[in-house]
Amino acid sequence: MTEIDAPLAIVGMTVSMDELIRLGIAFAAIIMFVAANAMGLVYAERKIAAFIQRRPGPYEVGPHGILQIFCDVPKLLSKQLLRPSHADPFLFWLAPVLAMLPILVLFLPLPFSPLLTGWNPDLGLLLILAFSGVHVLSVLLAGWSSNNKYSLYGAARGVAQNVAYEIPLLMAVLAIAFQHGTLSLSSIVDSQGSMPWQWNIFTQPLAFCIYWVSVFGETNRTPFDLAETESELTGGFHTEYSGMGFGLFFMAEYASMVVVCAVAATLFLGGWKGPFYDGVWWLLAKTYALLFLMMWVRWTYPRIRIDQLLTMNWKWLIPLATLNLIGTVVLMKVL
Amino acid sequence: MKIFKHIADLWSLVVGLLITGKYFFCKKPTVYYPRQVIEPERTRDFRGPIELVGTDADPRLPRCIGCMLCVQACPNNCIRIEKAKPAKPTPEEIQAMKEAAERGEKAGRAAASGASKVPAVWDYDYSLCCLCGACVETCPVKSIAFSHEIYLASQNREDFHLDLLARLRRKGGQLCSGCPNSDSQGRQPGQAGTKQAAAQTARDERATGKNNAEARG
Repeated sequence: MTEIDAPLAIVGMTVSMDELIRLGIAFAAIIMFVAANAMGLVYAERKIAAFIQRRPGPYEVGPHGILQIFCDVPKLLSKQLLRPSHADPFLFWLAPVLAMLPILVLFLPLPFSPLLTGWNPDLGLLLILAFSGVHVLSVLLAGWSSNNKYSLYGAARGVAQNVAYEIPLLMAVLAIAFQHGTLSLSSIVDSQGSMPWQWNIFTQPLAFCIYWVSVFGETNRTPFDLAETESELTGGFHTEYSGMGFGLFFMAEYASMVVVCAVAATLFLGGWKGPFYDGVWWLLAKTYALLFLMMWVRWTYPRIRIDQLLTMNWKWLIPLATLNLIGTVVLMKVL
Repeated sequence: MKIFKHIADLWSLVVGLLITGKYFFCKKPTVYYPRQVIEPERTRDFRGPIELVGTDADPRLPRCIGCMLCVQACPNNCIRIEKAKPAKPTPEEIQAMKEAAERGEKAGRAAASGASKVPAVWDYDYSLCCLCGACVETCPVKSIAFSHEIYLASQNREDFHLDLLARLRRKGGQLCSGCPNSDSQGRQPGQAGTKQAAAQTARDERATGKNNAEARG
């Protein structure tokens, strides 16, 4: 295969034709995976919420309401896209797109299995951390351009929260990177064993706890959904969005949940490895188990105040993550 | 050490998760109306639209003595009662009155036949009712009670103008199916107590409402 000058050649890299094809297939698969997951997870979330509250949830459309989502999606798709009269049109419509697009990139370096890896760069972990930071920009743009005080409040909270929670998240992930001496997700999976006690959660339990708390802040999920807070800010940063403008934010939220859970499964729970028959099913099972836990948490705990949220981050998570990181470094040097 | 207490308090998070986790798996109490209805005995505590209570002698006739206290007590004016005209005095009564007059006793018609204590019309506009229960508390003869009608629903405002006398006749006919004067609308005794009874009553009510509307129109 001949080497061609691809867009990536700008940064001094060359990409071969089959790598480009592989990337194209990976993106197509990722988009389908994200869309299917968003639909399935909305249904799952509604059912789990209902069951926890002793309700049946969606029940009337199809057996046990399984077809409910096929009513909701056309509704979202066909609704009129409204823009407030004094909103900035460019930034207003840029925000939902900016929320969705970087999420797709996050799936690229995830090793679903040795074969099912879109792209395996040496800096996969860094890629995920860098692109997940774009999400906060979309929250800010949406809140700012909506020309609505509630949206602006939501955006301000979202930024304060996202910026703060990125730090302990990063440090928890760094501890794993230091332990294995690599930022490649595939290498981190390779260095974990098949058996549960060989997974990183046993060598880095504190890092896992810090990571798990931080992802709630990063994905704006209850109890840390202060950027949305439908009871106080009527939806926060996405108050003014209708139809698929809101739909994209919604999809981005569920897609980012899948990403953080898949990354947690990869870094801490052995990725696609399991006690028997290694493969993609192990990663999916772990990811969905973590997603279930995330929804379970959402429907159990009340939303906390912004000062409590930031206090918890700055006074607990960051010091703990720092200690954990220092401990890991010292241990790695000594051993 | 305060810090250890904070860490120990984290256990409450697990307790919360266990509680919601338990609810996740427990049986759901939802009843899928209209495919299912709840058993009548479970509606016993439900205080629905008011209904008349029949006398012990004849459950198809109300205890109501037409005193109008409930009409005055009702904050929303949703009760309308019209008393029956006093029965015409029989010839014997007229004779007795005449005789009494001749004896110089002051005896009007009222003394002979008595003022009517029987309500002829007992209309109840449920669309106005706030279910405060003032009428139930006021009634001196305990003729008004909250019904346990939980499935009363309609898209037609007229359906909530209830004729409680007709309702009581139907209900009383149900209770004493052997009564010779049993209302033709009264349901068969076999239907009482079945699961569909509540829904059936709701349908009856709607039918009654339509009849009333026709009668008014």
